[in-house]
Amino acid sequence: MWSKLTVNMKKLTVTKDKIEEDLAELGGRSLIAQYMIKRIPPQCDPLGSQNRVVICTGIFAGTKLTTAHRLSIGSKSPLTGGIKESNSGGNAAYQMASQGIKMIEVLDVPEESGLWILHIGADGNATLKDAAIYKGVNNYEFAEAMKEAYGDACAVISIGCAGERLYKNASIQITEFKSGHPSRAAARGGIAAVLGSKGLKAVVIEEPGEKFKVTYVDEAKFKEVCIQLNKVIAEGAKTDPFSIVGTAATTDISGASGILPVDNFSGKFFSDYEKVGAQAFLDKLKSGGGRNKIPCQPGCVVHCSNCYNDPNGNYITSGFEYETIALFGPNCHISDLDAIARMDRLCDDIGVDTMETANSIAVCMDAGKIEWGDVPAVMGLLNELKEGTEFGNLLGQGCEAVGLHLGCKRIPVVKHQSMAGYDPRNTKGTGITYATSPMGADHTAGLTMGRAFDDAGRTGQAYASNKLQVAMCFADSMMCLFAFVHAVPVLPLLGELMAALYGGTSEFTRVATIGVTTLLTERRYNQMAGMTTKDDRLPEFFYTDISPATGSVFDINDLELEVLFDF
Amino acid sequence: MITNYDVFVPALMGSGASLRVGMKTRELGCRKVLVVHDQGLKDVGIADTIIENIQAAGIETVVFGNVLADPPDILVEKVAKLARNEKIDGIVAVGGGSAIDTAKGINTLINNPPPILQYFGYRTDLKPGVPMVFIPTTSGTGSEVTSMAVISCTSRGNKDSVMGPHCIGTLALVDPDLTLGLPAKMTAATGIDALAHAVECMTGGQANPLSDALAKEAIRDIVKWLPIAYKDGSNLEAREKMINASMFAGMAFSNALVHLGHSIGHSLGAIFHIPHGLACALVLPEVIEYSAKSEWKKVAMICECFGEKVQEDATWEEIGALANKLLRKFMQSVDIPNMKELGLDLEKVIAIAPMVTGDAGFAIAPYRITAAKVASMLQTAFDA
Repeated sequence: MWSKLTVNMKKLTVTKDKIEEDLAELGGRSLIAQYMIKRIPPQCDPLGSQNRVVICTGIFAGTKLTTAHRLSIGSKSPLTGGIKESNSGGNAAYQMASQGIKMIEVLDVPEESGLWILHIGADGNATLKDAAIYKGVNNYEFAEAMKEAYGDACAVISIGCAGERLYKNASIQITEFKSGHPSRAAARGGIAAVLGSKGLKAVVIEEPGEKFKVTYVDEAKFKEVCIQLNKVIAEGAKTDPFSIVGTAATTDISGASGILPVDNFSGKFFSDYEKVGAQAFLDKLKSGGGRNKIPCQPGCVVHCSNCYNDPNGNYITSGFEYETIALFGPNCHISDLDAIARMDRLCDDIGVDTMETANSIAVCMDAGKIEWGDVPAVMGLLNELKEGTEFGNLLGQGCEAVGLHLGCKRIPVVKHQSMAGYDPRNTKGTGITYATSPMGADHTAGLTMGRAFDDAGRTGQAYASNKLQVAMCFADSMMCLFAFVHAVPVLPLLGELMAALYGGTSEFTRVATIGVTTLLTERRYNQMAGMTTKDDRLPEFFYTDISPATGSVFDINDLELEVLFDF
Repeated sequence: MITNYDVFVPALMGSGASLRVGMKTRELGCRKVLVVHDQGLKDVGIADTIIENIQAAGIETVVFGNVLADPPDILVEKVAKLARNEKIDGIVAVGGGSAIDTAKGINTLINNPPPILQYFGYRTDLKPGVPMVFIPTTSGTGSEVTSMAVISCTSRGNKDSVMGPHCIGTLALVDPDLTLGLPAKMTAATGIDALAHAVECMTGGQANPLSDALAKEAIRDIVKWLPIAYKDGSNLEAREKMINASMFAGMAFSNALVHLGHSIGHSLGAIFHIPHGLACALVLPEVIEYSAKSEWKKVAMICECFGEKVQEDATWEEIGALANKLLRKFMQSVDIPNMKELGLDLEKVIAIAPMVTGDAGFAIAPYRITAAKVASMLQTAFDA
């Protein structure tokens, strides 16, 4: 039986209980949706006492399913004002599962200002430890300190100075498997600020002396199906560019099709996109002695992560991903991979969402505050963010706040969250996802590239977005999306796994229902939080400004968006 | 909005065009072709005329004369194996949609391994097949000019489409003479299929100005000439107009695609084994009415093709209702039965609604509807 930890930041207590029945067969995004609709008032102040943070593992945690150990973190987002589920790889979910913990809920706010660490020891004991000495300590230094105190195998979930300062673009960083770098991120939506408001600096999970054993209804059957599914995924991964190169491979496709955002979503082509493409990335890894094909969690067969060094062989960053490269790169008119890597490192260290931050920088360029492509100027602004200067504090409020303050006409946000590395005019299904996803402008909620006849055309896009949004809801409840895509030819196996684990039907509809229920629950939450139809639209300029690369505008009509969630 | 038109099959049209099959197949470089037809064409002698014409041009023939309606994948795979063993270098299909789609399925498997179900959907990455010459004998599926083949998936019990360059004919020979003997019932059923193609592709998400122009012309000609061809099959002018209209509709929908009407047709066909054209017609009026909500301009054009001018200030509901009425009346005029008259069970009919929403055509629907709404359309159409 899985346990949950209830951490009360007002009483400064930690209690351990059995996981509630209504959450027992859920995980990840699905668990967070059902948790929040019942336990976090949709109208609450995100940084107030009624908001909570939920940290949980997925449906197949503790099993040998590849990538079963994603970590999901949920809360009412200070950025979007709605439900937010932010997930990440790394080693924390694995250690949580080894400790027999499905969920950690963090309640209330401290009576007096302070900073604490939730420590879960090798003996399974969970306590709040005073962390005042770590105030303002950023993630790399902090992770090092935790390793020293608790051993190399410990997992660290932490916030940096950004989360402590309640920045809306603050991210939660998670240590990567083996390397221990705090380079995996539950980045979107500013949940780190919620942790900051609760005075919780980090959750540190030691490897337990005795590993928790999952209870199966039919263990032999689970093993059999799991081996089969893992095999299919491994086979698919062999030819997957994400596995062979990393997510950086995406640039070659998006750069050629106008999907890569350029100059604050101008819709232009970036003629130098190959300088930040797959080959350039691999060349840089080679010349610096970096590596790719790194698994960020134990047992992953896709291994898309990487470790990036400078030309002299000094470590710069890891988990260096397409979104960061696209948004700090061509979207800021920058084509210097080393420079972008340093930006990635700084963001991970202080704990901010590279995407939200990069979009904020692009908006600064568009408004004329700094020049397009000016790397030193960008580093200057990032240092202001780090130091917490007046403008730094504004940057910490996210792209929309910066854009409004500077009078920028083009602010690429939906539900106050800024977009990912895909121009919605040239992948319209993704644009529909940006507009309608309860998560805000989120690409992982339903990236439709390559799934309609023409990415820049209208046909079949609403259909693709709907299908993917449902699929991503159940995928994000069980495994990493990059493994999930390879499981698609054998989806019914997921139903069989659920039956072997929990009993009940093995029909795939059981899995699909989790997806639909989660999506509709999230929508309901947002409606109760005060969101309306106007929150399900893209910024106006995408409807009127033609993308020079393709001649497209975002011409999806309101009716298509209104009925998107009719089931 | 940027739209595209890019599937184009060269065609020879007119009485006697089918007699150029031998000459043209030889010009394409073929020396040993697979000829695909059904038993019915053998019985009326058309198959033999085509085969002898090809042989007279000095081309060897391997004949498969047992095409089944709603081509099953296992049969396609069997004939593809034969074709590979015989090392054929071309395929000639003569017949209705089933013969042509069987040929397309075989072509898919000429250089790509079976089973064919792995190739469902739109694929541009398959190895190319051989030149294909298509001679339609119905008016019709338009398959001689489209890029898709509908195959019945035996293991899943449904119908799905294979689409892409491997399904595009090299040459179409569109000869009205071959349809003079088409029985009245088949004339009506295949004619309604062509009508469904035309009205659906105008209201779907991929419509473009060229497909609309072809579709409108097709609708006008079908409205005028199908009733004549139905009553007097020997009227050559009517047969000519119909086979051309069927081709225009095929050209139109090959680029603009069809949607909900065909999704319903596929599901009804799979469960109740109703011929394709008929199956697609059964709920067509309701489908076009639903489309009017976002496509009222196109639905108004459809009404005009029926000879009814729409009021300037008509609401979408009024336009939709008018189109529904016109389509229903037209179908009744060529004795197309409704589901009740076909003896179907209402409850079983409504139960197909979830299957409909799973059909690929659903992606092209002008706006999303629920399975519940599909069920209510089926109910309304049941005894309309």
